[in-house]
Amino acid sequence: MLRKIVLCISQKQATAGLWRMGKLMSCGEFPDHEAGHEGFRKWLHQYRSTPISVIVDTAEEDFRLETIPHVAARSRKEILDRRLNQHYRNAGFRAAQQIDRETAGRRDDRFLLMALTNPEVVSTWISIAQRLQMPLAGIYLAPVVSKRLGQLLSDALPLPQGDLLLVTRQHAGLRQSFFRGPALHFSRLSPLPDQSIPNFQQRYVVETEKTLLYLLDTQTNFSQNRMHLMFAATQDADVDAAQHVPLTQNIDRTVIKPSELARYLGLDSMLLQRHPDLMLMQVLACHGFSATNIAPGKLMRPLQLQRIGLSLNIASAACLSGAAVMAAANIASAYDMEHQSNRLAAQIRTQERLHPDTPRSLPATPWPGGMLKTVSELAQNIDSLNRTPQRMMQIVGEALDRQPEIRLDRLRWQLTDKIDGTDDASIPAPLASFDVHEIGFIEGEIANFDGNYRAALDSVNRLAEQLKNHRQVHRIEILRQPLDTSPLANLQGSTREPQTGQAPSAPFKLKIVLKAVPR
Amino acid sequence: MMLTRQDVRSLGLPLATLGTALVIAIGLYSYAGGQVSRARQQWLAQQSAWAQARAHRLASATEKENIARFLPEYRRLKQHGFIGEEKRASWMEHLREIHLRHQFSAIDYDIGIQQAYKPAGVAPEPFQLHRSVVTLRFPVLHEGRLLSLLQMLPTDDIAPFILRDCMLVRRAGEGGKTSASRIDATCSLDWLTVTEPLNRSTP
Repeated sequence: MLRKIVLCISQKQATAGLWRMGKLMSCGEFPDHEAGHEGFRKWLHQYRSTPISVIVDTAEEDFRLETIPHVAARSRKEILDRRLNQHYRNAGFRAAQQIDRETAGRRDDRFLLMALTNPEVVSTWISIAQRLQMPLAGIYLAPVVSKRLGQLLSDALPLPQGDLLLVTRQHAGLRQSFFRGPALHFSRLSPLPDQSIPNFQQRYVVETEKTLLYLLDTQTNFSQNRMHLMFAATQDADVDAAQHVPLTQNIDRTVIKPSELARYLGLDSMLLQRHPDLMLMQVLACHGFSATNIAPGKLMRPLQLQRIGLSLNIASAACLSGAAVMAAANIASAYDMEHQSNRLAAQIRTQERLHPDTPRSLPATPWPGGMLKTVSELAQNIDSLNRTPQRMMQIVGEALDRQPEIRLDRLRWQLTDKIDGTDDASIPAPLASFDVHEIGFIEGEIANFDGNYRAALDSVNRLAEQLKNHRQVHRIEILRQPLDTSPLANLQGSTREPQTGQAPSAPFKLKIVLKAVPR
Repeated sequence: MMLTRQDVRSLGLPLATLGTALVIAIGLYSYAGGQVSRARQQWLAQQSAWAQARAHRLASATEKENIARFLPEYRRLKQHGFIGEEKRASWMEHLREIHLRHQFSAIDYDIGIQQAYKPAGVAPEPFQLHRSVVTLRFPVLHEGRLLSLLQMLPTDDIAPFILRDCMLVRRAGEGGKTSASRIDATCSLDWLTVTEPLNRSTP
């Protein structure tokens, strides 16, 4: 929120101020009577929809310290509601603030319960704001805001550790709040006469002495906890009066002059002297803290609705902005693609102009180029299978040259796609594929055979071995030996001398498979 | 926080603003999406046209190259009888010439019936491949004469062939050195030709 209104309500009047960006822009005091109310309404009307935070500075307030077991949030709320109902059954403006936890025993939580015991003090002013539909940001008791003031001043001076009795004077009177550590323990508001009255100083001193006596009576132990008595003076008269307060042991005094106080708070000194309520109002407006709000939920509803409305407006803006960005990106992308399309179209036209592709531009041909290629490659394939028996004859010839006792009677060479081809068919079967092998069959016998089959077998085996070891031979099979020594075959013969025309023979047959020749 | 009807009424303006913003956002998004979709379709169409033009140009270049490269070979194959009808007379004439010029005693030939032939992995579609088995029988004095004849067989006048089978058999009882022809040679070969399809088309 850029603007906020802070209203300080006391028994006799209300002081209102408008802050914008943390700076006080306007301020007014409105007495608690009809004219004052009307003036307030007119002042407020200028700043409609601005959230209002309210400080209630009245003696009709109550504070109680309570300890409750340390339980879960839901149970804690129930216990606190019960305690608040117990103490402030009829008070609409009430709240509880956690102070700390006990250090011993069950380590219970310590809470400060607070309530405005007379709602009439604020009801008139609040109803004026409600009629103008001004959202209420919160209602805070003056001692709660004083606590933050005490912290600010302690930090600014700075003060050593110890208890603090903060004495301030506003329109409502003399406010004395006692803090032990960060916790508010006690607060008292005493009405004071105007500073122009002769016995003002005496009353000021007496009221402060009463508080000090009360603290001593309630056995507040200052011996261990040194106490600082701090006077935050908004008027020069307060400075004089503060100096006259008698002190006892373990109490020291700090008097902050109006000019210093204004500087610490960031306010104009003259303005602060004219409107002393601005001291707490400035703290609430500019030195943000989580003060305990005593406003009932129904009064906070306009602010919640205003925040929902603001959220909806932000969502609308985000929605529109997002859509605009995406649409812009899409349109840019579309423009880019259109540009690319046009460039492609231009390229196609250029290509068509440079390379006119009409049938007349091709050479005259009986068939498409692909078909010509197919036929030509087929002819090349057939040419690549141009083999003759020459290789087979060379291999066999070389082997036979080393074994002149062997006579060759028959040689058959085949080009076949079956490596296990036989010697049977007279006409070769068509090649199923052009992946071919050269195989050969040789038949012969031992020349001038004298019946020595062992020698014949040795000769044939040597021939087979020679062929097998040739680098171009893939495989050798002996299909027939000169003598079948297998126990599965019948073996007949004679050792008699051979008669004329009945010479014994030792025929054999081999199969040779050559290694493939790269095509 | 539960909203009452009055709360909703008080939030009327922001809600209306949000509704309007949503409508405008959807409209903007749809319009821009439509533009992108249209541009993308146009771009894809142009891409496709460009790819087609490029493929066509490449195909045309390949076609030109194929024609330039293979048309002379095609003509040569046609002239030599690989493409078209078998030139059986040329075969017979060529064998007779070998017989006379190189003094072979006799070359018996047997040219079988032409049959369609479809070896695996060879598909010269739409041309049709044919095979005729040619068997040659002739006596030779020694094995070298067989190889000489086989070397003389391929010429430009006859189509390519695949020599499939050759058999050399020494004549029985002629182991002596007096006989003029001692070995019978028999060879079989596949004579391959290609016929053109009937429906001629030009590129």
